[in-house]
Amino acid sequence: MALIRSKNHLLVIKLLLHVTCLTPAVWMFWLGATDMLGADPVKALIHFYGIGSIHCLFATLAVSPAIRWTKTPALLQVRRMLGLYAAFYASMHIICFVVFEWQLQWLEIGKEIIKRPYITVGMVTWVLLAILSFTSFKRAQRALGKRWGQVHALVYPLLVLALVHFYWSQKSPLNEAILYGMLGVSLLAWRQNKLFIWFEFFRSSKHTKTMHR
Amino acid sequence: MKRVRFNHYSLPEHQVTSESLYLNRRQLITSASVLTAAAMLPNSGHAATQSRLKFIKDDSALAVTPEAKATTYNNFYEFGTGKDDPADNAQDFKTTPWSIKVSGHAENTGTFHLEDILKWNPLEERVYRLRCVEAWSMVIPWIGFPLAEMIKRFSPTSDAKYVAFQTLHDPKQMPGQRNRLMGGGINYPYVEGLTIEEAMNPLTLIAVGMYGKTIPPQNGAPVRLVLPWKYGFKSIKSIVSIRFTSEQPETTWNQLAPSEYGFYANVNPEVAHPRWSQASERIIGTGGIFGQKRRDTEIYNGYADQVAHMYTQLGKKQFY
Repeated sequence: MALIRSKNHLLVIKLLLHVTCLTPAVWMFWLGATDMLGADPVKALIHFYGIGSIHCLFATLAVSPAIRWTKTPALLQVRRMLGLYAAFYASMHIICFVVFEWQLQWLEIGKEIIKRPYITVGMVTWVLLAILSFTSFKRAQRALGKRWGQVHALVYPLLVLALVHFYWSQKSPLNEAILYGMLGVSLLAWRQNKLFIWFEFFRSSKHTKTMHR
Repeated sequence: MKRVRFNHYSLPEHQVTSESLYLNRRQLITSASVLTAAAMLPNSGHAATQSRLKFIKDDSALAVTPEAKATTYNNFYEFGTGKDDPADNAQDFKTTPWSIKVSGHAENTGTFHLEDILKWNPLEERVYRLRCVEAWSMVIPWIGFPLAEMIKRFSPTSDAKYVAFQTLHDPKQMPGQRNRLMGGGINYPYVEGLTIEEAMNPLTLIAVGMYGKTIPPQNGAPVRLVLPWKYGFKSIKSIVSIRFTSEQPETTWNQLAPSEYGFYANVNPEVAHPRWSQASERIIGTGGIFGQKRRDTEIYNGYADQVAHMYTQLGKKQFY
């Protein structure tokens, strides 16, 4: 049962995904701006965008299994979009933290990033998301050639870091982050032979250097 | 006997607002915020009924947190770990009849009904800062009486070096106690403790009301502790037991993570929580994300004059 049988189908699916990803992001921001998000709108927004980013990451990594199950290779066309939404949500998460939580007190923010391991992990995750976003376009794909896949396999450790950051940010030992962790592990287990492809990038880069010499 | 009321717990204020103006503003804020809160509360069905209380007013000029925020943003893991879970899940909580079991090193022990306890002292309002260990703060107009007045009735002996408190354990009513995932995996019943000196400090309040009415369930109905110079988790909610001990009692958060939550847990900007700084706090107020305010956290949450003398023997680290 193929899901997509024409260009129009694909467009409809893309449009639906845009609406699904953008509407809550904008709506929640509006609620936060008008003080309709409960007692601590800042925390509410930070948590919403953080969890939203993990949802988008899950969706991104669910594309391959979905292709397999529905026998619809065309679904691959939506994967980059979902990945970019994960980066967008993560960026909003950080903007809320920097602007609304810390009121742009850069010195304090720097101290927090260095001193709090879970925030350090979060920042590393965001940097990886940025790298993947900037190398997600056709031009970068062509420039990186065969190694593009190696670079983008960084999404696997990135997911692990995001989930560790989520669990670590909680106050008590038993929380929903554990369920997220299980889901994340099963998404990774599904493609266990690919998890360390990114490692090849560094290996082969050394390798190519020696070749050129 | 004439009661002389010292205003020893009011903080010096730079701007004293006239009471009528202040009340007026508060009414405006409350009515406006009740509307938004009502719009936000996911069908809390039948909200617990709160009744008006008679009390001696506090003339503090601190800017009080809107009631709707103070009653919808709670850490009360017995009703779930989300901040809005308690307001959603605690509305059917039964608070009558309620009694407190008093035991340990005291001459007058036994079970006391709350309605009898309430006859012992006139109720008074205390507008206190509340500083949560999560680095946010509110200002709440509590209603209650000094714990010291209550403790005197029990005549603790010289062996009573500490006072241990316990929250109700009733998994039927408290979903967080039924389900470990919902209750955050902490041990129940929730237990807390103070040194006898801390318990007798005039600032230490047994609260049965806030914002002019009885406390709603999510804020620890029907009776809770309020310790304005300590992080919020020390102010134990829905108390069913008070025990006078000679040894330092176990406290729930300290059992769970001793490096993060100490026995004293005094508010101190210089002692960071291992995962975040305590140097400043975000004020839970009005105005959405663009109206956020921060303030520098004060040692003992601004109550040093009344409490610092109790900790001269403690080192800075031990103190947390």
